[in-house]
Amino acid sequence: MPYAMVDGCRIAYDREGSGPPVLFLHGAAQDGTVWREVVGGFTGGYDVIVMDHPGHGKSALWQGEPMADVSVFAHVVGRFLQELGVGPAALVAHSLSGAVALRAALDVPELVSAVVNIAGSARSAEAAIGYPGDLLDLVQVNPTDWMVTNFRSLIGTQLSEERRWELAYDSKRVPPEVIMGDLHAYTSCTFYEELGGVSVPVLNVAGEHDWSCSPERVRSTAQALGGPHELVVFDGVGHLPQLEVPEQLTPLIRAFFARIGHVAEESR
Amino acid sequence: MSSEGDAVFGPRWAQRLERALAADARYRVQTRWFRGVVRLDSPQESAQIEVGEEGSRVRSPAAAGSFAFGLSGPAQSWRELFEGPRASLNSSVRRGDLVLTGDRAALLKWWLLMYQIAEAARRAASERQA
Repeated sequence: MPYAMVDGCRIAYDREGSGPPVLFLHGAAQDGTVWREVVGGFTGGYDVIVMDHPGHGKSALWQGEPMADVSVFAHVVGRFLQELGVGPAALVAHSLSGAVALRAALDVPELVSAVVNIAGSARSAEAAIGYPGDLLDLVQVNPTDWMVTNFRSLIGTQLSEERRWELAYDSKRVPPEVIMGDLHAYTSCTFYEELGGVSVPVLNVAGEHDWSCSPERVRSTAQALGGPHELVVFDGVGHLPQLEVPEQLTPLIRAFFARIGHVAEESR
Repeated sequence: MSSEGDAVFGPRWAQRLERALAADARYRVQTRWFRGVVRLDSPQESAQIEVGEEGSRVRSPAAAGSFAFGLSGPAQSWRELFEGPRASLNSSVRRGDLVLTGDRAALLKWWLLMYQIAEAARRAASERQA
């Protein structure tokens, strides 16, 4: 796993294949390994890049602190692409990063050719309804178990009980303070009114059983987009389609890329 | 409507939950280091889970006395937690449908334990409906 130095921050990433660039962005309390069951379907024909956001996986903290703002995440993604000399790239982004990718499409449009927004929204449920009382402060007592139980209840019905717990346990590998930063970024994210400025094609993906970023919320995000957009809802799937149904998600994204012409020259 | 009427908790609910907890290996792991009373309340009803050396005893209505922590909310919110297709402890609390009671910091510390109780109650509810 190589590193890119981005404004003094060591960013870990994997890169394989050749062709039009595709950057995979993980969600809150996770790292790039969430794409393991998907990226193999893209290395034939694409320049596949999987990064760990600062503070996650093997990446260092950004300016020594957990990031807590979607705009900062988007800034880092843009600077990372510039550092690699890559772009414009298609961003395949999950959950919190769905918002990050849409934000990047607004802030650095020259670096983004398309977005696949998986279970993401430009206005989080929390920003819409607010966290009750001081709950977010209380979560600091034990953010790790809060996230484990979040993920456990966010996985749909297609996987076994054992596999669901296994996937939920992954969030324990992220430091508690980084989880809190992610939660703050997710809960404060609200740029719904700006989505008309997103002009690149966007494929939106939602899971029927996702209560955190529900199909309704993804649909409302899709409908506000200014450019061409599509929405697919997976039956029986929760918040993590890339881990729950990778065999369905991969061809869905590839077909989207083919429709918008994000394919190698010889494939056109 | 079931023979238990509109009640969310009650003696038979307590029996079902106690059986579900006794059969739950993950719950037993979470109770290895916890001893005390967890309380569940609605305006009309109450229940408690007493976690001791010999396992967990569930009773409804709850006994008078102190408790470590718990949750409280209207009957409809409890029904949603126990039977709703997308419901979970996290979603119910995040929406403010259920509020934390007792030592709230302790409840966050023992969040996995509370989660296992809620999930066991969901399984018990589905058994009743089956």
